[in-house]
Amino acid sequence: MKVLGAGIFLAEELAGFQAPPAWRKATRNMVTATASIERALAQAGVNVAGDHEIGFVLGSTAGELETSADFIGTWSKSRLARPLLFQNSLHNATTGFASIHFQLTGPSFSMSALEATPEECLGMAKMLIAEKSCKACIVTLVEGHKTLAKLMGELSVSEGACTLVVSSEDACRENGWAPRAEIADLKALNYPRADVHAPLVAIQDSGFFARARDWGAGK
Amino acid sequence: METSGSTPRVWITGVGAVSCLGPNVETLWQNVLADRSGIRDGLGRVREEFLTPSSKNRALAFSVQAAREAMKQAGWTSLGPDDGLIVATTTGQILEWDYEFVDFISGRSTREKFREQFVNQPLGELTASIARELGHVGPTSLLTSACAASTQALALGAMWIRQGKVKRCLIAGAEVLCDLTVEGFRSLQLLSLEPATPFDQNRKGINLSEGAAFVALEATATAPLAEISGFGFSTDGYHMTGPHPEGDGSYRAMNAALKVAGLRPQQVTWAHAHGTGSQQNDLSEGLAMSRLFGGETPWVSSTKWLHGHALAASGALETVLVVQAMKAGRVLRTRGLKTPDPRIPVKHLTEDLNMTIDHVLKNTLGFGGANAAIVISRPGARA
Repeated sequence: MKVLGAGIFLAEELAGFQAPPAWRKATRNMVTATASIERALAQAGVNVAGDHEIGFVLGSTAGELETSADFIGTWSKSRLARPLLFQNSLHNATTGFASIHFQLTGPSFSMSALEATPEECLGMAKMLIAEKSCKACIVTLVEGHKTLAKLMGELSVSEGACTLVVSSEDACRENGWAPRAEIADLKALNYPRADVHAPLVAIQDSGFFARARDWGAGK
Repeated sequence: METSGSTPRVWITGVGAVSCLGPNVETLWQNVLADRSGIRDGLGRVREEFLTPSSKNRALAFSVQAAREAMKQAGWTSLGPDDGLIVATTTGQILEWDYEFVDFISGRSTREKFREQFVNQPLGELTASIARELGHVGPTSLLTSACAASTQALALGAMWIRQGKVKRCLIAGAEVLCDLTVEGFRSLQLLSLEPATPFDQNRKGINLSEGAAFVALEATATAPLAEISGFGFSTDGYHMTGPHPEGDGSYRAMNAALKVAGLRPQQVTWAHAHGTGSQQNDLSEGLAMSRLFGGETPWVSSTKWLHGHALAASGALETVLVVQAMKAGRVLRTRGLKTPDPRIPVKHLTEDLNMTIDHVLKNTLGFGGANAAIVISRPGARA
């Protein structure tokens, strides 16, 4: 599988980040994921808006857990169910948000497979490209859990997002795309198995994050 | 029955379901034939007596029971390393932590207790638990694309078989009723207290439901129940919770599914719609179908009045129903439909219709703009 572009965005960058006004209702997952995709697409040089042949796969072990907890907490204390919190609490809410922002109209999938989430997401992209359901695929990994980490006293667990834009050799040739790297071993991009049995997963521990960071920096 | 050209075909050889209509597929089907809705007070809850108590985890209990039923029908006695397991869920693990969370933030429990429960929160834990219960060690995956998830899972299973990743694959959809979805959908003013009436001019909304549905897929089969002959996906890129008003994305997903199946729209016998009973879904989906079929649709119906909307499990549950209907040669009408919405230009049935069903287009739409469709074909209906 060929890599056309890569990008990361860590939660620490949020403090100085100028989000567009349309993002005012976005969760931290939505912002970090969308910002990491923006960086990866800029490097890949692929136009994605309205192209039905661009796929999108987003993986997360925790998903929008923080917003789910916010909804449940608000409901339990005040019997107030907030529609915005509900729509943002769904596991695939970030996929929906980013697809609206980038006008993605091809296949989109949300996945969660414990330590193998990176491998499964890239495997899905590979399947979609092989079936010609898409010619290139944005694959994003995102984790955000600051509030829950605080509740559990685990403040050091890293959060943020990383993205790879991938395609096949044939599609690169047909579309004139120049690959920057190649992924041979999907398993190497997973989280260490032991991490998954901690309450929260640190995104920086995944091989996916390390590759996206290095390739995004042109290494 | 094996391959078509060089691409392996994908056969359905077993189905299993635990739903508000019963603890197995036969009871589900008998309730369908008797026009019994499983909806009570607006929700489709699985009755406790339907379950064989084997686990504290509700989604896992549904899943193990439905998995065993599907495996038994397929004649599988165990799962090997070349067999796959793909699960679709959005709420599968939530009951494992939400009450403890509320107790903790209300000061009724301790951080340690919450932490202990919270380790179970990743949705991937449900797949791992099902795999452990079934003794499965092969490839697994989990999809969370809202209401399109188990249709996507069926398609992914088909891709795994077509591309040789596995020879057999169990596909699951599992959901539980919980405060998050019930109160969340209520806050969006989408819930109906009566059984849903899809495509009706006076439809009032959806009924959330729970349960699990399993479908066994194989590359080779001597007496298959049906075939997954096509699949297609798209994204609206339009709104977080509402579908594209003209059903543009849904149209593209269905069109892609027919293309993969190598079928012309006129060859479809029945379009089994997502048909949730919400104003927006039914209108958008109906317009997409009208466009796909050039104004002359096949029979279009939704079965949500019977079993409600099982969210991520809906595609798998409705595939189980389609397989039963195909076997019985009975196209199911939209129960609850009295006055068709004149803005939805599709062909409705007033009674169930006994006929040979060759190809069914099973369609789904999900929050986040995720659309997925599959084509389910009768064995022998394709060359």
